[in-house]
Amino acid sequence: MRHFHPRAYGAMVGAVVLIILVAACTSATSISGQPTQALAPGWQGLNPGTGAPQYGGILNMVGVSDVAVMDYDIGYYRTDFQVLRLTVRQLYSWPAIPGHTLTPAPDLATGMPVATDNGLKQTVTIRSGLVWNTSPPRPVTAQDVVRGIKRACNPSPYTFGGMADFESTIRGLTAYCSGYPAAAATSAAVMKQYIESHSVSGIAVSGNNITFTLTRPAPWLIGAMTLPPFSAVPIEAEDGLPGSPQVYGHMYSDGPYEITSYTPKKSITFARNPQWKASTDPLRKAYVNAINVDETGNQATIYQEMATGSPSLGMSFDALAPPAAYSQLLDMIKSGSQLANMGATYQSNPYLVFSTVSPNDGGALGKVAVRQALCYGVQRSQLIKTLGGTAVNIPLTHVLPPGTDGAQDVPGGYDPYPYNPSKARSMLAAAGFTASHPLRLKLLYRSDSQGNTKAFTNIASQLDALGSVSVTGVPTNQSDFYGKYLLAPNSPGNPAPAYQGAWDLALPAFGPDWYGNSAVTWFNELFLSPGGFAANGGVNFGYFSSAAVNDTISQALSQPTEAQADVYWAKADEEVMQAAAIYPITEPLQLAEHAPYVHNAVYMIPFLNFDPANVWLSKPGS
Amino acid sequence: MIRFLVRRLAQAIVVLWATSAVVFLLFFVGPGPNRVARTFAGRFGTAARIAQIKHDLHLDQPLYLQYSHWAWNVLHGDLGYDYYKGEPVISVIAQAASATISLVLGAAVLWISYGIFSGVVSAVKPRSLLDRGFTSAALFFYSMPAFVLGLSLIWVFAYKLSPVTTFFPFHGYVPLTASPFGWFEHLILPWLTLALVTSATYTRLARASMLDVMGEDYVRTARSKGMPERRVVMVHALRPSLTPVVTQAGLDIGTALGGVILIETVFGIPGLGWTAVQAINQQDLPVIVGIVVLAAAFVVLVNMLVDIAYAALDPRVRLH
Amino acid sequence: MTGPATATGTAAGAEPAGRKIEGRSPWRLAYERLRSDRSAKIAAGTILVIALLAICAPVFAAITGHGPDQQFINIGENANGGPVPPSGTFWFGTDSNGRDLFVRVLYGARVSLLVGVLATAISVALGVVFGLAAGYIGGLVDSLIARVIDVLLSIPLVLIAISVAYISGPGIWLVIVIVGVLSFTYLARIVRGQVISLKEKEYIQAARALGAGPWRIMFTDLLPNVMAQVIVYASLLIPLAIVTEAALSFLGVGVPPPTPDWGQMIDDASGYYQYGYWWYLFFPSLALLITTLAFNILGDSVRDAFDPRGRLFV
Repeated sequence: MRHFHPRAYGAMVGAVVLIILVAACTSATSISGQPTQALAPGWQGLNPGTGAPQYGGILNMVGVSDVAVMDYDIGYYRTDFQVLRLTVRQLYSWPAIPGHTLTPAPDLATGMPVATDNGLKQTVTIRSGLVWNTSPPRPVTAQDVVRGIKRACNPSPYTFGGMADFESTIRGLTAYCSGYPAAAATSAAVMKQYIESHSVSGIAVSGNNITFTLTRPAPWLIGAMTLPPFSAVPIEAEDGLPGSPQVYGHMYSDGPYEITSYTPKKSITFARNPQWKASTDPLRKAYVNAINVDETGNQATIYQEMATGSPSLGMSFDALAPPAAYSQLLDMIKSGSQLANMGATYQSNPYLVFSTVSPNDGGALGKVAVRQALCYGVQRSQLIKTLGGTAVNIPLTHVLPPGTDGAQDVPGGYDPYPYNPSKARSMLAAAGFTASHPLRLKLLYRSDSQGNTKAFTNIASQLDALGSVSVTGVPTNQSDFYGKYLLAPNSPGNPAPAYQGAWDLALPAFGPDWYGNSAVTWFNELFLSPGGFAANGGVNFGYFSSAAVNDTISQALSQPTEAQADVYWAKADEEVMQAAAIYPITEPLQLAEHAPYVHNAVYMIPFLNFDPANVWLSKPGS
Repeated sequence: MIRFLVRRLAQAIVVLWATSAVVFLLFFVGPGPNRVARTFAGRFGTAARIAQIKHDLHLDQPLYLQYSHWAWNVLHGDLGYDYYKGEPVISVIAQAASATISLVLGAAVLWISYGIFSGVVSAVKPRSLLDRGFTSAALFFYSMPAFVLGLSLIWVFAYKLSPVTTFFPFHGYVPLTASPFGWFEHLILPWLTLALVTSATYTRLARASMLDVMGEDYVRTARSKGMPERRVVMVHALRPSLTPVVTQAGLDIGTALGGVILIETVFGIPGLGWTAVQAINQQDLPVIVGIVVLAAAFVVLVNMLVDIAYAALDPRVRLH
Repeated sequence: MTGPATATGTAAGAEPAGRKIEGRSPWRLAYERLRSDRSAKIAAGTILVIALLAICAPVFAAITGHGPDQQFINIGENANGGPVPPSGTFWFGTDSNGRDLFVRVLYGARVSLLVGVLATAISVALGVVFGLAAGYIGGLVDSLIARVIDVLLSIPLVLIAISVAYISGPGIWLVIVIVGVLSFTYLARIVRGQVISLKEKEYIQAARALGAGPWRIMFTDLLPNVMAQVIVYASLLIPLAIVTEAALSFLGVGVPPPTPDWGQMIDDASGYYQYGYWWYLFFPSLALLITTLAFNILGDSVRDAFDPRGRLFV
């Protein structure tokens, strides 16, 4: 054999280095120029385009993952909401009008709910002329909506995760939901029989009118009526168990599009629903003819491709802008680009939740003092910087983000745990944890998210720096993070991972189910016990339990006016913070981008994405 | 020859059986029945559901019975049921297999032809610039991880060239039946990546084999008879030198599954490797097991075929 | 190369007149060929430098004042939390978490070298033992071992690695064991082939006639003669193990963070390089490339040294 000449070796490595450097130096794509726009949340990459909106074309969307469940009334994540936006209508929903996207507007309903009986009754009237795309086509009825509510709390594994928001507020609903026969969990026939033959005492139907009788006045209920349980659901949905192939194999639609094919984790295709009439739908213009969703992408290449204006990618389906892209997107916004968007989210994302029931280290996290010590040991400003800086983050020092009712009643500048590492150390020492006997913590995080991984890395590093704490990461993907670890139900003989000590800290995200007057969803879902536990449809992942907080919540719910309720919500906020149930970090401002040929891209907070039902294309996709 | 065939077949069956046992032990026994059932149940791990799954999968029965159930099903083409997607594992695998086959075969054509070409040129003109160039390239790509290469190719061709041409897509797969042009377009970069990474061994293999053959007496005789060098190479030396190359190619195609995982992940091609990684992420055991068993069976099959082909060509092999 | 091969260099070349002609064992010949091979020396030198840098990583950490896991949020991240480019403070720039990339690349060398060497050691040990036993004892033992090897060859390595990592959690020892156990088969086959051809040689028969037991024969007489091939393949297995480890880290089942690891750095960097943060992808990739290239070249040279005509093994 030959001997490899060393000069060739050196030359080759040199050539490689040169090529990479040349490619690298031409890779900086930031747009220089004087900032002309102030960076403020709500900057819309609307891209109105010139001339009248055009009908037609195919919108291609690429995502990294699938809906959580393909069904009518049980979806609970933003990808589910996005799909429902195109196919299944609710009593109320969000208008795609910049500046008004968070005010519920009538969708199936003809107008706002009519309150009678001192607010203890709310009546909603359904539009007539709405039709299902069944064969033969069939009118959408008020009973369909009631079916949606009843089916949403079914006992099978696929059930609506936000029932805690409103279940106790509609009279008889809790009794109805707990009245399902046990066999309904595994038998579609039994479930159908129960749903069709039993009714909720507090829901009455008369013609096109639905009247809800409430246990207490609830001016916030219209917000809840944008949720999937308040969708019209056809009776065909009961042919199989919720979330089963019998159901998602053939989804019916009363919205502008119908699903023509669905392969879980791979693709969804939508085409126009011939039974939908634009005149009956004030919220959706449905300019494009078809929508293709490809779920096999990855976050980095999606945003790379989007910048090139390729016809095969108009919008991301579910992939959020990666932190690596922030500088570039912010530069685009500063120079006035119509393709990038920065929107408020009203979320607490991520926040650090403590498992109060973890048996690790002698149940250390069950003690308030230990949790408080950890809160003192984290410097929020460092986390904010690594998560993108203050340009895209609003630091949260307590539960309710600004703009949420109740937040204004929390004293300004309320920060119960300013960074104090020596205090953290002494509190930990008092609990028996020192450098020689550290507190060992498992921190569960989503390793397929750049941002979540950065948050984990920084928190672990900060806590380790205290000396008396040792953090190990538990990486997992998005669906396992919630599905396998946090939402797995707890029952005797089958303890939830939190009880098994599989995690001590976690970095989930929380967004309210509606906006503004949404404190009830924050507290019922996150801190109510036992109503907020995963098995009961909430997201109180750490099994936080406080009689005082429960009490404050029910007091807030029984107040006659919003202003009076707000005072109690603020009190609950402070109580939760004193008990160190969670350590809030930030409300992120979401950066998003779309292709140059996508117009009228209205950013919708429930989807954290532009509204596909209202965009139009100037260059039809292929 | 018949005796050899029978023996070889028997060996293949033994290996297949042993492989299935190892896979079964690894996935169904290793974690323990509770863990397996809980894994299947996932987020819907109510006690009732876990018990039901245990019953469905016969996890409450003694080990040998479990294995026989499972093996019996596999032999009947029933690789189990995918709870997540709600369809039989066989159909999940069938859909994914066509993508992987497209990827591997297309790349194989590229790497075999490039390998032979570069190997022959290097052997015919040893120590020339071409020889050094090809050898350097071989070493370079052999040492580069497939995912780095794949990402770099996307960067250069799809992103950097996008103002000039949008021919190179960023990711995805289009089935041949849906659009031959789209199929080709989406597979160019993946083919290139897989071929470059695999071709290195072929360059060296072809070169060495060619050198070997060119040193043989009959080649020297042909040369001394005055035959032009090109004819010597193409007519006398090329064919015999291809045998080890083809053998290796057969083996590599058989074991390609491991290598394509990275490529499929980077390029978003929903083939067997991508499906397997997804299944592992969701702990979708039936799919993982199905793909592993299939991959193993495929390798055993290809190995057997290669051995038989070799034996048909070279009688000495049969004695072994 | 046509005609009788002449190794470059002076290995078998001229002897000063009058010097006693001594026979040279294949080992001696190989060593002398290797010694005069410039590319081998460069490759070996590179590997030595890399190993030294890896060992002295804490020294560099002390010099720069940056530990491998220390996050410098204020000076090591730009206003939007992204990495900062190479500068006087951070010689290779920082990674996405504000950590010194230069220090991390050096510490990453430790993982790669450790995995490469240890996994190969396991492969060599297993391969030699199984190969010797299969080749020498033959018969049923041979068949059994051959079937075991077939089974291991047919199971997809990466899939198993990912699955096992999922069940028991990722870790550096998992990577080492899996890469080692699933790579020994090739070596075992080579050793077996070699043993079979050596088995009938006179000196083995003589040893047997003298009453030496099979284990003695295997390890005292046969082993030294197969070592040549073992060394060649071992030197080629090391870079393979390193790249496999990087690939497993890329897929998320390698060494868990925050341990610095080249594959994991490349995986993270693959989401950053397209936004102008080129150094994060460049330096770990270059390190990986140079390391594997050096091992590959050294392995090639070792093979050339033992077998300059390329006849014995490819």
